[in-house]
Amino acid sequence: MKIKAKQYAQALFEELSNKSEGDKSGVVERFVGILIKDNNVSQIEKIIYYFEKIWNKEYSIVEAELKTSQKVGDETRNLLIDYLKKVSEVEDVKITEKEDKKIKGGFVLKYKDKILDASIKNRLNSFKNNLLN
Amino acid sequence: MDNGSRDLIIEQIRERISGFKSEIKEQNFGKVIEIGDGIASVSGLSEAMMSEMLEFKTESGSVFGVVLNLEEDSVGVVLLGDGSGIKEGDEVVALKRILEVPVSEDIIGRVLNPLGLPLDGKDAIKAEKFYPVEKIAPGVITRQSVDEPVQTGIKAIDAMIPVGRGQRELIIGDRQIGKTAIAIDTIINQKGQNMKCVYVAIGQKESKIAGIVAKLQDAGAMEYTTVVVAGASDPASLLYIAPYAGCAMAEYFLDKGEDVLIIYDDLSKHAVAYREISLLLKRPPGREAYPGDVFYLHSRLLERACKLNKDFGGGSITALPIIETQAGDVSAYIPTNVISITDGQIYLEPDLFYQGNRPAVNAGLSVSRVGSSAQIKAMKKVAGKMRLEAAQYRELAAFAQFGSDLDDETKNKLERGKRLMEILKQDQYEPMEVSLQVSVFFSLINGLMDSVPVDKIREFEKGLVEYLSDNISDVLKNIREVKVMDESDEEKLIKAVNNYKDTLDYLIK
Repeated sequence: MKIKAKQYAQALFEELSNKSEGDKSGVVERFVGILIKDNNVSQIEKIIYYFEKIWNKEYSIVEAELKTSQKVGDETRNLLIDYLKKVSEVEDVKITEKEDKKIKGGFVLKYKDKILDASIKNRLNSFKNNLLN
Repeated sequence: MDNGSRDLIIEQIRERISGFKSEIKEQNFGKVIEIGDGIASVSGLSEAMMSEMLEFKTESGSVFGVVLNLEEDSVGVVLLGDGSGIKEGDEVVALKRILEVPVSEDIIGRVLNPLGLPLDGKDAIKAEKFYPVEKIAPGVITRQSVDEPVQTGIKAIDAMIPVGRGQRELIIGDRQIGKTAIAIDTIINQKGQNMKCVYVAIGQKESKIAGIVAKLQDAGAMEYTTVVVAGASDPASLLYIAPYAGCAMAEYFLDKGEDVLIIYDDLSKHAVAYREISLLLKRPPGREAYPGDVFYLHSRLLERACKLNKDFGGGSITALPIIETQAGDVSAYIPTNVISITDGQIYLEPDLFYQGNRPAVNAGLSVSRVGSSAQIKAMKKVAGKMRLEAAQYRELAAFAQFGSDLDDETKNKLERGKRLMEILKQDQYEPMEVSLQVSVFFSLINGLMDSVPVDKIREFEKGLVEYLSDNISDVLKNIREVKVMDESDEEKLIKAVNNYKDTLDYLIK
């Protein structure tokens, strides 16, 4: 039977979770060896995607992407992190920041499969639609 | 412009702006994994619902799609527009709305696409409400049996295969045989009958649709008709939702207690569009490669046709689905399915059509399971005898081909039958009003036409109809309004027919 990317990721995670720090690199090496033997190296990106998902779920981490028109201050960032911790009930939040002049102002926050679009561009658009109808 | 009106405009603008509140909502989003053939596979979207609308954000603007498959890590989506600008990895946002169409009184007289966007070059529809495209049909408690007629204006149908308000009557036959003509004639004849009409064109040539719309306009039928078009060049997804969208528009009028006639032209192309989508979504194929739920596809659509009882508004939706058969094969998969769902069928036959019997209704294979409860009393009285005469003629005509020596009674039956067949012929776009139909049939079954030569019957009928409208309009009005023909009316009618016959010189002496 063909092994799916999700199953590989699950197996890798379980194998790693009960190993000491020193043994981990050995596990990864053997895992890649199995992938090569099974002719499944092409699935590596999917496996990484699922592995990250499983890892984040297990260790209660949420990854988020914050898009702003200019650099955000620490205070705002902390507010957003607190918000994310509250809504997704996790202990740790990893935020990556991006600057995008196109959104004009405000911010766009993406985490898991949610999007919170509080950009000026979005608000202008909905204002336009409101006036047109 | 004076200062007063300028200030008023400014005031209105100010009001609109101050009344605007921007709301920031958390939305569910995903990314395109795979795209092609009008189908997309999207990751994320863990909260997506079945039939929910999705917005694909591309560089060249938004494209909309509908969720049709919910899988473990992804959802299968059909695109409702041109997907050529969508790339792998593009963002997709769930709109938290089930697919719906805008409805209001505005849709009457318009040509729309299945999403309610105008195709006739006029303004967009001002939506009063939005109706969901997929809806569960009304239940048992809300319904009532069919008891009011839909006057199609076609003699062969109104007399022998009556259609009632709330009925589902299938029109089935080969290509180019007059299926659409029956539907269009029926729409034209609904003028002044308190009926709204919806014509849904599925996978038709745009030129044919343009012709139909022009014809309806000429006949003044667009005053109560909406045309929903998913043309041959539209994506399969639009063809798939077109009948449901048309039905949603009909339901708007139903909820207001009105009677609606809806025509699905045609459901075989609809099934083919659904097969295309299903196969692309990798659902397993069954017989003729149709998916397993192709029966449910049509049954859930046609079940939405109904007659509601007084407590629920008393409105009705009458459905006339059309099915195109291949070389007269009514036992193919889709025709048998739809025959079994509907309350009867009007079967059009190529042989009759080429013999010149138009409309080419085969009275033997056509049935209406609602029967005479969908006829007015006056029609019931004459139609029963007509059906009998027609059946006897068919049997005798087949039999008489072999023998030459026939007794007088048989000969008379054959002669009467020939005239009956002539009477049932009718030109396109010339529907006949019910009181005139009753008068013509009455004359025939009472032997008043026996002295008219068979080849002159149609000429005779035309003259008779004009003569009756001019001379005994009170009797016709009685039939139309009171819906019965009493003895004094019958006497007047017989007298009028005889008077008309006296003016003719081609009668058999």
